[in-house]
Amino acid sequence: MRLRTSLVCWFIVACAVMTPYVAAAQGRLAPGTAAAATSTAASAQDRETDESLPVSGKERPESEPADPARKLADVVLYLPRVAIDLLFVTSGAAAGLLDDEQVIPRLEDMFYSSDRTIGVFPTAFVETGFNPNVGARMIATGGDFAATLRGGYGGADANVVESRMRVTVASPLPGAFSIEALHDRRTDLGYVGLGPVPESDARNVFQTDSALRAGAYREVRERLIGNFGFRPLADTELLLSTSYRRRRIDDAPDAGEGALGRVFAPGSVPGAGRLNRTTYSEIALRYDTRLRRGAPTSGWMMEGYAGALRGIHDADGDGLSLGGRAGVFLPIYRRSNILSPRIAIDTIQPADASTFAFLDYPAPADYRGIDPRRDRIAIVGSLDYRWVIMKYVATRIFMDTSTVAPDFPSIDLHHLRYAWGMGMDLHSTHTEIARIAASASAEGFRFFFSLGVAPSGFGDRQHR
Amino acid sequence: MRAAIAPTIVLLLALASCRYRPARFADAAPVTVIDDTDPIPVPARREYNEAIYLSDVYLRRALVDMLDPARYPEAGDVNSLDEVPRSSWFMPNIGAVPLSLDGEPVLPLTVTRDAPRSSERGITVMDARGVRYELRRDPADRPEMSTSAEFIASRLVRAFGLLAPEVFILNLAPTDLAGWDPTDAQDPAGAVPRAFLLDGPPAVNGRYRVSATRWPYGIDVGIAPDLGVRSDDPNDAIAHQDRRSLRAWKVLGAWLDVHGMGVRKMRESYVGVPGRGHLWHFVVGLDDFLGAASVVRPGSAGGLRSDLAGGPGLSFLSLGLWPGKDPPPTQTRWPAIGALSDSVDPAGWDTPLPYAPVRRALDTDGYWAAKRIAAIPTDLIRSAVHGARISDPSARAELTRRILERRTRVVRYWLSRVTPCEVQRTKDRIVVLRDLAIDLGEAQVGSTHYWVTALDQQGSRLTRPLEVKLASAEFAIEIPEILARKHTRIVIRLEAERDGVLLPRACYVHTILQDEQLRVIGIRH
Repeated sequence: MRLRTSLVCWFIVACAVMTPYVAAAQGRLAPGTAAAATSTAASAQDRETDESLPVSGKERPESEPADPARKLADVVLYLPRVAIDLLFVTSGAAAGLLDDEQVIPRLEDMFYSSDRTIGVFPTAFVETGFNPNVGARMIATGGDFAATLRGGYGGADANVVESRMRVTVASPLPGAFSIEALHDRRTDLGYVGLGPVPESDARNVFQTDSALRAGAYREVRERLIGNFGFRPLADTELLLSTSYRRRRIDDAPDAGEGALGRVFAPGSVPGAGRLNRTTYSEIALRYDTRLRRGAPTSGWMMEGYAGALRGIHDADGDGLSLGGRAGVFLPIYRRSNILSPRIAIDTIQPADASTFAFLDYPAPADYRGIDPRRDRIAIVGSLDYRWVIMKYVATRIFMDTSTVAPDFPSIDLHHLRYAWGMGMDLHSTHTEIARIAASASAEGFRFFFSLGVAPSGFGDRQHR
Repeated sequence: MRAAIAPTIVLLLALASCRYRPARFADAAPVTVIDDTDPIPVPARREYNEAIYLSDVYLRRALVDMLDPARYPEAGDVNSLDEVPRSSWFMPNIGAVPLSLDGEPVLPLTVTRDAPRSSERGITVMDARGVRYELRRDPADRPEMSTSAEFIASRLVRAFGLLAPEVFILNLAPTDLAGWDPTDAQDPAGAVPRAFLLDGPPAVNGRYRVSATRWPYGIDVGIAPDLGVRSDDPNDAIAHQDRRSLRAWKVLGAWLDVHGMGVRKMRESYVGVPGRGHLWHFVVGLDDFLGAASVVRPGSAGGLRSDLAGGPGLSFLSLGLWPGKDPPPTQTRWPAIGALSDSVDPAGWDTPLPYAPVRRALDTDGYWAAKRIAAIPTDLIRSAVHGARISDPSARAELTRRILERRTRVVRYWLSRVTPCEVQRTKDRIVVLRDLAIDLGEAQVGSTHYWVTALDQQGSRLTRPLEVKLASAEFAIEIPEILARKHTRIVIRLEAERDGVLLPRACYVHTILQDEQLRVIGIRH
């Protein structure tokens, strides 16, 4: 409650402080700048004219019959208008656009140093089921170099500090090198156990006195990632990445009977209740013949990866991951109507299942319904139909199915999960900018909203 | 009961003030020059970022504009006579003088690794003097089209009064590009020039036709934002969305069939010694003017439709399967002419991406731009087409005809959106006016008459509307003596009626009477 009050206060103060800047950024003159603009315009007058006059020569503007009503409506709508503008400014999504090492020109004056190389942006997130989160993001840019530092606070167990640095090169081959560091605390995360039917899988040992079959946990993690990617051919990308991850998992503090340790037998969940330190190195290759990655375009895409997970200590567990994705993008009647069947397969082979942390098992990450199951193999099949309804705006309908299994022979089609959905996106030539979508499945509804440059799809395993 | 008092008062106040009240102009000479060339430091360079721009125009602006009930304001760079004063944005006579003394590039040319900035296509070169140019070629199947469009548009945009880089048509031999051996196909230094020369129509008599665009003049500081001002340019005092010189693109764009008008086409150059110079504001990317970027080639869609299924609503509901209407293939009779139709929809013309100045263009801005376009001498248009060195005389004639026909249609439309009345002179209590539409032959004297009303400064009528029938484009209005005695400031409202239909906007002529002498101190169309 106190946190929400603080958030409201912060927002009101932010509105009050930033309103003149937002007005100026919108092109309306702020109170402090009106006089300056008028005097500048007046300086342009002929010598004979009164220097306090604007270029128009008007001492008083004309008024139309509807102007009083417009002014009244303007007063009523002023706060919602400024609030929306501020929300855009302060949303992490707006800052997400900056991950593309670019600067929002409109905001430069508000948040950037005089030489426009360093900027600090406020951020705010409100997500369903999570506490509001406020913070700041610092951006530094210079030539081919970009760096961001962001921090957010949404309570004792919901905070994040992240730093990224990226250098891009255009020749001899287009490429990028980046280093990322992250610390975050998250809570009320859910684990249902391993296997396609966790309730009956012998690997999951539930407490006999608990009727619940999903446990809530808290995760505190630190992560360091190094990425190097380049494009040896026009349609081919190669990415090498390595990471160090330190993770502590314990019961969610406010979960009560639903806490991980109350649902599962003590010591039966590998990786829970202790510090887990691993490194993960991966090589990934992607071949994509589509001319554009943002707009619906025909072509086909295939990517594959191989990675090695190594525990720092014997108890941390080792594993080998392999996987890939493939998709075909077929035009239907119009060049801008694209039907795309796709499949994504992620696998991991633990060296010792008894020490292998449960969070290192793959989950069906590309599934757009609700499927928290994990196992050695996770498979997602998708069928998307996407069509452009106006320039830069496309609609999609989709159907996903997912399953997990301990090995390929054990894949059982009876345990598939299905999700159907519909969405709309705004895209540029090269990337998706904003997306809104909803999906329905037997497990419930899911709503998606994102604003900002979407991740490339490469190196995703490092960020999970 | 008490709860109803406040809304009632607000409603009564609103109703009480619900009528037109004219502006009050100062008794002062009109501003003819905006001196926005004070020395400034070199501003930071800004480049276009598609993702950021799209998210801004389609998300933030869409939401914020929906909640903004204010009407679009009158343009800020307009003087009391409804004209745009000369400034670094608008130079009325720039079409008559060269922008620089550099002229055509001096051979040989050296290819540089610098990417072109005035357009997305082409290569950059330094001439023998070290002056930078950007070279572009035509599409292989449309010889002389893009290069001609760039040359002609450059001349016409400058004739309008806006800055556009100078363009030259060259016929280059491969050896005119220095630093490579054209006879050695394996010469690594020749990769860029060879690809450039081969990516276009074949050589004629061993020479390749290219356009050479002189760019930049001074230091290129990137794009001009379409909203607000450039914060690091103290001379930039008028929000760009409210500059009539930019709003004019609603009219110019329709006339010259500009494909991608928007922020990418407005670039700024810092001219002068760093620290003592200022900015000039250019329109660039002229190679896709005159329909050169809209050519539809038969069979290029591989049997698939390329339109958007009859609009967003139909497309959405039909899953993009609505039959719609594909644009017909562009004519091939004259390859040097792009998809430049001689018919044009001036009201419907829009930019592919929301561009704030064009979105906010008012009828009065359109009228001003149409006046400027109508004032461009026909001989200058013919000369521009001739200078493009199109080899087929019939293509030259056809292109000229289409440009002139489009001009007629665009000017006719915008003259019909206001009362196109211009003050000629005043004498005693008489003001002599001229109907520009009749003067240009776009309306008939016999079908036109005016309603003239005198108003005071508050908008109250001083006379009943007086009908004035015209005998020619020019007509005179005399302020009655009795009015002249009582009022020193009188606003004359002129409403034109053609074929029994009132034109959408009245013209207001603001006058002041001193010693029985009438002077015009303001005009609004």
